[in-house]
Amino acid sequence: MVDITNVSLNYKKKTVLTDVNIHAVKGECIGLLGLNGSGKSTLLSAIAGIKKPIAGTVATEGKIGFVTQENALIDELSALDNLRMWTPLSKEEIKKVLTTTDVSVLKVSEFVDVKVKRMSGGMKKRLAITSVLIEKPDILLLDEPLSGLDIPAKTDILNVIDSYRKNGGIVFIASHAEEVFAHCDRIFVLKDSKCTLLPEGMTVIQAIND
Amino acid sequence: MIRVYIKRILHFLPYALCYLLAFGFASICIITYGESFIFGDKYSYSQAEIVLYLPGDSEYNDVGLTMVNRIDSVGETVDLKRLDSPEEVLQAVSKGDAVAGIIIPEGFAESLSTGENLQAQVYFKEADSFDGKVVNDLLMYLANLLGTGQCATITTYAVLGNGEISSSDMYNIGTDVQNRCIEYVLSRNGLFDEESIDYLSAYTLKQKMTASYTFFLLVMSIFVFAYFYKGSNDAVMTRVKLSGKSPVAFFLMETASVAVMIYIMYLIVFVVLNSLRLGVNELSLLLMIPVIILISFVSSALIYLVKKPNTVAFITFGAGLVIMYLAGGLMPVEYMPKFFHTAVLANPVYYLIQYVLGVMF
Repeated sequence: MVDITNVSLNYKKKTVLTDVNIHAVKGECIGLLGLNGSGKSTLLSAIAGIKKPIAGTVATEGKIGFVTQENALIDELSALDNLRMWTPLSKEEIKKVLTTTDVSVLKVSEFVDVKVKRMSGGMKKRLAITSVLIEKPDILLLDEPLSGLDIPAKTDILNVIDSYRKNGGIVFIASHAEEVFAHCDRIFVLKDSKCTLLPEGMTVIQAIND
Repeated sequence: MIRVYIKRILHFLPYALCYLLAFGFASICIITYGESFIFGDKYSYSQAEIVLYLPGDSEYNDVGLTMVNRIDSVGETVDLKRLDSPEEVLQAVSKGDAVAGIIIPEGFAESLSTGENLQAQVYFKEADSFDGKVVNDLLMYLANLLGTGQCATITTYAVLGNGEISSSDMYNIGTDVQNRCIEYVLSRNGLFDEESIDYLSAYTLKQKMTASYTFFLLVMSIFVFAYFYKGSNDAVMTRVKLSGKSPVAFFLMETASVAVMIYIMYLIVFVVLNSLRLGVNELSLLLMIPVIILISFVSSALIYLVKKPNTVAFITFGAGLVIMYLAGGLMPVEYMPKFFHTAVLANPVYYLIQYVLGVMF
C-alpha cells in the first residue's frame, strides 16, 4: 500500500508540488505524467523515503525498489557482479533467477558476464531494473524507464512491469512516453505544482500539450 | 559483497597504476636529476660564502684555520674567506657579498685552554631566507672550531712536552683543555634553535624530496579515485538506503578499497625506490598505513562532498598543489622564501610530510 496524503514537496528550495493525494493498492500501476521539472522524480523520491515532504505524509507498506534515471551500476563490474552487490544470492542462484523467474523477460542472462562500461543504454536499463527486481520489492518506482530505448527493449520492460503487478506489486512510473501509460490503471498529471487525475476522455498527448 | 569489492579493486587498479606510472616517472626524474637541475650541483648548492676575521698572525689561528678547511663537512658547505678587519667582515655581510661573517676575538685559541671562553661573533642578515641553512652550517663550522681547540691542545702538548713536566700532569692538562673546548662549543649551540635544524639536517636533500614526492604522489591520486568512489552517486546511495545497507558501512567499504589501492601504489613506489638504491626503510611498509588511511578518509570525504569527479580533480590540482607547496611538499622548506618558513608550521600537511620522511628514512 502507498498512501500519499496532502503532500507538498520542494526541489532546490522551490515548491514543485502541493497538496498531492494518491492512494495505491496491491497490483495497481500508477502513471505520473508531466513536463521536465514538474516534480515527477521528486514525488518518486518522496515515496521512496529519500526526500522528506515539507507538508503531508507518505505512508508505505513493504519493501521499495527504485529504478532512478541515473543508473546505480558500477562500470568496472560485469552484470553478474553488479547484481551480487545488492543481493546475498550466490552466482549460481542469481543465474537461476535470471533464467527461471519473471525477470528472464529482460534477458540479462544473455550478457551476464559483460562489463557495464561495454553495455548499450538498453542493456544498462534492463540490468538496472533486474537488479532492483531481484530484491523482490513490494513497491516498484520507475523513473523514465523507457527513455532512449528501442522498441524490443521497451516491449520487454513493459512486459516485466505487467507480470510484476499481476503478482501483486504496486508500480509507480514517471514518464513522458505515451506507450507506458497504456499499462497504467490511473494516470496523474503533474502541472503547475498540482497533481491531478487525467480527466476521462483526455489523451496523454492532449494532457501534455494542454 | 567483499568479493565483489575485491573484484572492483582489481578492475580499477590499472587506472591507478597508469597514473602512478606517469606521475611516478616524473617524480623519480625530479628526485634523481632535479637536485642538480633545480638546486644546483651537489657540491655547490649549499656553498655559502662566509667571511672570517682572525686577529694577528697567531700560529694557532693559521693551524686551526687550515684544519677547519680540511674538514670535508666545512669544505662542502662553506666557502671560507679570510678578511683583514672586523669592519670588512660586517661590510661584506651587510652588502650581501657574504651570507654570514665570523669575527674571532683576540686570544680566542688561548682562552680555550684557560677557561676564559671568549666568544666568536657570528653575523648574518635576519631577512636572508638562507639563514636557517647558514646557521646550521655555522653551527657545524663553530663545532669544527673545536679543531682550533684541538690544535691548541696539540700545541699545549708541544709546549709542555719539553721534559720539565711529568707525563701524568701533561695528560691532565691536555684533558682539561679538551673538556673546556667541548664546554665552549656546547654553550655556543645554546644560542641557536638547534633542535629543528638538526632534525632536518639529518636527512639529505634527495631523501627529503623522495619523501615529499611520495606523499605528493599518494595524495594526488585522489582525483583518480574520484572515478572509483560511488558514495557520491545519488542513484547508488538511494540504492544503498533502500537495500537496507548502512550508508556508513558503504562509505567505510569504499574508503577501505581506496586505502588498499593507495597501499598497493606505495608498495610499488617502495620497490622502485629501493631498486634505485634510495634505501627506503622496510618498516615504512607498516608505518605508512596510518598515513594511507588518513589520505583515504580525506579523499573519500572530499569526493562525497564534491560529488563530481571533474570538480574533485580541479580541487586536487588547484588547492592541493598550493597546500602541498605551503607544506614544503614540492620544494624543501629551507629553499623557500623566509615567510614560508613560519607559514609551514601552521600547515598540518607539513607535519605529515615530516612523518613520512621519518618513516621512510
